[in-house]
Amino acid sequence: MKLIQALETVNRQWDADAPGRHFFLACSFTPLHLLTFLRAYLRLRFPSARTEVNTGLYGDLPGNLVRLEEMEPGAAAVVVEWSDLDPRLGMRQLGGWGLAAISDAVATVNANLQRLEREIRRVAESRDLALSVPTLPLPPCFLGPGWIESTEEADLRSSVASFARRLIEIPRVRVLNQQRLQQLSPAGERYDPRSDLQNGFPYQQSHADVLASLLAALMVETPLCKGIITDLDDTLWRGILGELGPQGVTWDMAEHAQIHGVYQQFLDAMAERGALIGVASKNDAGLVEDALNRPDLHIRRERLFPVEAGWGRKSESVSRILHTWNVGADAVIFVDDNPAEVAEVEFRHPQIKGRHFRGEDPQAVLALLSELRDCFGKRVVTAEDGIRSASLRSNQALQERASDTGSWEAFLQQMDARIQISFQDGPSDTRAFELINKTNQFNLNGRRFTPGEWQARLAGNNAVLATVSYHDKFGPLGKIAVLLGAADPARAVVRIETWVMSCRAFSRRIEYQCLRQLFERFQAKEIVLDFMPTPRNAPARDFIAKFGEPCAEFRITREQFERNCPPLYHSCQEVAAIG
Amino acid sequence: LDNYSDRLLRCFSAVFPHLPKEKIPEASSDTVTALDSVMMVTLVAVIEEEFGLTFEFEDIDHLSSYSSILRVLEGRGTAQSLRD
Repeated sequence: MKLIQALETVNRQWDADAPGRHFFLACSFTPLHLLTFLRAYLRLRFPSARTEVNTGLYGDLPGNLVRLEEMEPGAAAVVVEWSDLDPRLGMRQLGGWGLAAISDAVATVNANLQRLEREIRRVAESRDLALSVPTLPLPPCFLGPGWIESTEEADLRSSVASFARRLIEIPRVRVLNQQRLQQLSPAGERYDPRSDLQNGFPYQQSHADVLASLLAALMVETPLCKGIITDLDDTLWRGILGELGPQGVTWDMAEHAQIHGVYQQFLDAMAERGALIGVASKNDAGLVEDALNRPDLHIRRERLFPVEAGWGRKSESVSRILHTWNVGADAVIFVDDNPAEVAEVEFRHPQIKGRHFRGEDPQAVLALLSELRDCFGKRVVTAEDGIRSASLRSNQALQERASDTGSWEAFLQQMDARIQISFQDGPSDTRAFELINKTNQFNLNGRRFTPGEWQARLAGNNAVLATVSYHDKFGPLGKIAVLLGAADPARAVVRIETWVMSCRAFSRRIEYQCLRQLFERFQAKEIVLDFMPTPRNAPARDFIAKFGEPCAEFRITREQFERNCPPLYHSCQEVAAIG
Repeated sequence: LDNYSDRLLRCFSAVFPHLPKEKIPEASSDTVTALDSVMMVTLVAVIEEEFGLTFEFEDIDHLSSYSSILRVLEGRGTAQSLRD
């Protein structure tokens, strides 16, 4: 982004009633263009919000960390440069570059890193922090020629790396990845000595642009994609299955097809972390099954679900996969070696992201894998991630068996459904937070939370957080529903502000059981649902419509609930925490 | 040379979004209170980027108004044309 574009982005008018989003940039140099770019990138992430980025005072990074605590809650970026750790490692102060001074600078840097770490740990108790450790080159003050690493340079880099490593462990701190920064902003093109000396702003504009874009990504997590639909021939493997047979397709070095093995290995790792991996292939289904069951395949067979192999259009296969997964096309990436197939799928599913797999160009495949990592890269893997594919498989079995039995009621009765509900899971429940921020369909109002907002909400008076897990004879679904609200014992009312349920849990009447449990747990006479329609939450709206015309502040009395509630066959247990 | 004035107008609009377009040609450090040292640095950076040039330290002292900046840009453009 050019600076003028950043300014024009920042200058765009807000809606009069736009909600406020507050951020803070803590650095000790004049923030100047870094601030402009950061404002622009945050604005792009919240186009309809009034985004504000506050800054502190020049030359006082530790003080700015204290100041940011006095600001409105919201994520903050902390940008550290060498001169913040010891001014002798910059050019704006002349403290000497003699051997003794350099040796002393190493000790000073260590002491200042310790102090900074204490401050960051304290601030990260109450808000999210994005941390950038020194990005600028060290000055030419060390012993020996510049192509030989000196002891002091190695010590300084090691100290900063250890500092960053310790802070990565803190849940609310996200540290900027140096490798990604290096890819986008080469080290030799970052420092602007003219601007540093003249204005106290040390970055080239291109570096400020890249750094701001990455900081914004660290400060505001974007919704993750949920599934990858992959082609097989010349994508998951090299060769045409119909011509070569299951033993003829390859993915190894000997056949110059290693990059396909790398792709398989990558998909297997993504599946382990909760991504859904489906297959859409124009092939004979029997041959496909034989090939996918080869023991040397680098993705486990059970991690590919569903497998749509046939001779119809790819877009039709994709439609069936989306239906089975019950996810929106905008949360899915389609990968195929044939650009025409990619175009056909994108034409029929405009929200899907189509990607061309170019097996002849390993560099392009590597770039594709890097992009997929960004789209799916979760920081924390939960128990539900490991069972997602299996539970979808059992869901499909459930639908098939139900249609066999003829009576849905009889079928539900013999499912041996067990529900656990906890009212004690707290802010550390990453699955609850994740579920709220990624569920679209059964979602009361589409409200999303930043980690800071989530924690603040849970700390509120009479806050109620209910988390629900489900298990039946087809297997566990894990933690599948979250309700957040507040109880008013005096009026026997529970107000639900946020309620989400995974699409994997539909058709089991779990939503009715959630309300029943709330009525009973809080001896409530009435539940108020903070409903708001969104383009995607028809399942939530349809459920509420069972009790009346959906509207904001939708009220359900106990009598009204019991009158409209179908028979529930779950056994329910309240637990301290869902494991 | 009209192209210079259009591009310079865009630079001023981006840096001073509240300044009405018709007032920009009269803008100077005397008439625009927001044209302080920080905003001047931003304005200079935007102009340098937009026109692909670098001002010297001593030039910047003379860039105190829209018209003076336009004169410098036109002068540089003319000099460049003569060199080409």
